[in-house]
Amino acid sequence: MGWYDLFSRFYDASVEPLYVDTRQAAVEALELEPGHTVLDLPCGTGQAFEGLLAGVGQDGAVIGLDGSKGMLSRAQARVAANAWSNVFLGVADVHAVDAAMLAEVRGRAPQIDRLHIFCGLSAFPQWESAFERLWGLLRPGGRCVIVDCHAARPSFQGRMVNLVARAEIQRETWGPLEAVADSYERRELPSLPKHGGTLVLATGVKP
Amino acid sequence: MSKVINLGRFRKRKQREAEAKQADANALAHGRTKEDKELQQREREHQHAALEGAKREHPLDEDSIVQTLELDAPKLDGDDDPQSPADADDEHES
Repeated sequence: MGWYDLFSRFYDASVEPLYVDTRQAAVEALELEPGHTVLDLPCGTGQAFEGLLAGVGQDGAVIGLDGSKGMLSRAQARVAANAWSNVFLGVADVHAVDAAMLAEVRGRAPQIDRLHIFCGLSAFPQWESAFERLWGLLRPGGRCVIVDCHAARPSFQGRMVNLVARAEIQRETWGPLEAVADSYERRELPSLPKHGGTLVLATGVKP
Repeated sequence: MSKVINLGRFRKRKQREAEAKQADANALAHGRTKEDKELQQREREHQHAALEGAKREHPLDEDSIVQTLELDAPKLDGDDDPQSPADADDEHES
């Protein structure tokens, strides 16, 4: 069992309450339209699904991928409890995700209209190549939203976040998006000491 | 209830399929046909059977080789004389 499988047991109760407003900001920044397909990676326990589904409607879809089976089992339970029929889940290594995998999960080859990377890039190993891979799956004209915590010099709280989330919040996770996206924007979100740093939201459109 | 697809397994399956496809392509481009392989196998079996059939019951030892050579050797004039030339020389000397 990996760390995130263990983490999944107390993630929703301990960490997620800190991100309720942040998730709402991310959904708004995605500028979702009915019929859109969103790739949510890492989807964790599926905390973003409700907001994403509200944007894409019945004709749209959410593909939720994560590297942790523990996180996904909770996401699956959430989907079942809400009887969502247009959420598709898969356990995958971010460095291996490709169009064929998305087709396998979705049941047919999907067009990825929106890319939602919430607190992923600070924790992924080789995060820049992970971003490149995900960016490659987004359709031209599609929008990407990255939300992550950042502290150039983490405080004690920041070091605790790094420890618990196996993260490196020193990373400037918006950098690769800024280098390749059109209509790039970045802003800071309201943050608490418990976040360990500043919450940053970056968005951009694929040329 | 929605199911969680294990994409690690999917990736491995696709990889195996791709490798098998590549192996088929390689065999088509560089390999022998099934008929060639079967023909060669039949020839190999035939040769093996021929060799097995020609084998002696018991392996030859030195005594049996000598015995065989003695039996097969053509008889020369004077061979009836039980005395060998060496023995004759000995007699002259004495």
